[in-house]
Amino acid sequence: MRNFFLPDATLFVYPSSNLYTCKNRKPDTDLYMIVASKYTEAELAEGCKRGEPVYQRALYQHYHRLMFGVCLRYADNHEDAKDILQEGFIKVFKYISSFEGKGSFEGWIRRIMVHTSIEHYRRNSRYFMVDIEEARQVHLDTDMLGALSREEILGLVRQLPVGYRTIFNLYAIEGFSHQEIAEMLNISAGTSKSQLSRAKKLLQDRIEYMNMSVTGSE
Amino acid sequence: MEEKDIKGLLKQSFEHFEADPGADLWPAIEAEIHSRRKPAWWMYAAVAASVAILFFSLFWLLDQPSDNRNQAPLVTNDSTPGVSIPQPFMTEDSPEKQLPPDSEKGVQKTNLGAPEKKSLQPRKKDSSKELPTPSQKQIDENFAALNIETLNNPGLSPLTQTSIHAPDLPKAETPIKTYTQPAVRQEYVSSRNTIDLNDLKVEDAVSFASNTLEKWKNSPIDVYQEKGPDGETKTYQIDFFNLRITKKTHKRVVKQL
Repeated sequence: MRNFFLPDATLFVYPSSNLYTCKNRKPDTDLYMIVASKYTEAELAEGCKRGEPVYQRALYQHYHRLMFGVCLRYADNHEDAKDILQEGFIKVFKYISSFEGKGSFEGWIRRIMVHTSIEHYRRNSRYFMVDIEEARQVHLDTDMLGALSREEILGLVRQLPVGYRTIFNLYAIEGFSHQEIAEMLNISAGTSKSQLSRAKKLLQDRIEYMNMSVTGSE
Repeated sequence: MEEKDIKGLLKQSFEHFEADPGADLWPAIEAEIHSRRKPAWWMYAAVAASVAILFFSLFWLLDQPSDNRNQAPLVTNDSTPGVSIPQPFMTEDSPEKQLPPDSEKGVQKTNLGAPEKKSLQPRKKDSSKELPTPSQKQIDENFAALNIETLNNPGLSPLTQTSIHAPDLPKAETPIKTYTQPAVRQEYVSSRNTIDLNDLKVEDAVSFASNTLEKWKNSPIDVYQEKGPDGETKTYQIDFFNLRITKKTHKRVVKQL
């Protein structure tokens, strides 16, 4: 029965754009996943450039989980991450025509999300980046960091203040250089370095504290 | 080096990190995208308002009575009195030519739609003041020549004949006529009078009611309508509960401005 009904359902979903604009319809994510998996990155980009709702929905369905992961790293909390994701997707659909097909589409969307996060906190917090020239070497125990699970690292990173967290994300996870980060955030490379060392210091303290509490309980 | 180790260290573990934002995000995004495409409600309102303003101003302008009396009169030179050119929506505005009030209505009613022919007679007063009057004999000759010409060449239009004979006629003969647009307006006037049968004497009420009811005894409803001349409509409505008869008259009136 399932094999009999599935193609019909996909056929019904695919050509009808009305389905996506219908407000009362309960979102049927499984069907959307089937639709989203039909298209390649280039097809999605082209469809969204034409402004077709089917492709827009498919694009969202394809990337929203991954991009929410990105937003979570930069955001203070879950709600902020959702706001950033929404803002970022609206930007994606708005500026889709400027995507020329060079490089991966996913990378382009990811960059938009990162920029949106930076903009979000630059706009909302008064002292986003404090310009402190302080080049102090802090040693972060990378073995210790590597031993932690992804969720634990995320929890630690999200506890950092906005400025440190942003630079730590950009440097340690996205892999940008200090010069690139400085250009992105309109700060000097030295500030970027000092902020990173402070972030590392805080992380190191927290990891040590975690280990202490774990060993202490034993 | 420490710095090299940490740069992009966590890239591998976070590259495919996924999380579910919840199902309520897409409707918000979609609403935002589609609101960009659709014009806002106030745009429609603005368009509707401007159209309405345009319409009403046009209506008002057309409804304004045009009064040309204060403006410069339209002067025409008629070289041949025998030829009449139809002039739509023009009437002569001289005290001599004004119709008596009895016939005025009927004439002006017909003027509204159909073009009116100009009066054949020249205005004597003005022309005699300004220019010497041509002798009656000369006029008669000209008329005779015109008639003969018309009889001989029926194919020729009067206008071409005019051009042929125009130089022969003396300039003094040209009458000066002024024309204005008709200063009348058609309006519908409705009046209503109610007769309360309770106010009347019993005999009067009975006679009135029987006379009036006679007219619509065949009609199934409490409204009787009769049509008079000139598009006048009389509607009688009886209120059986309060014993009242309401008469509404609706007639067309040509108003002199």
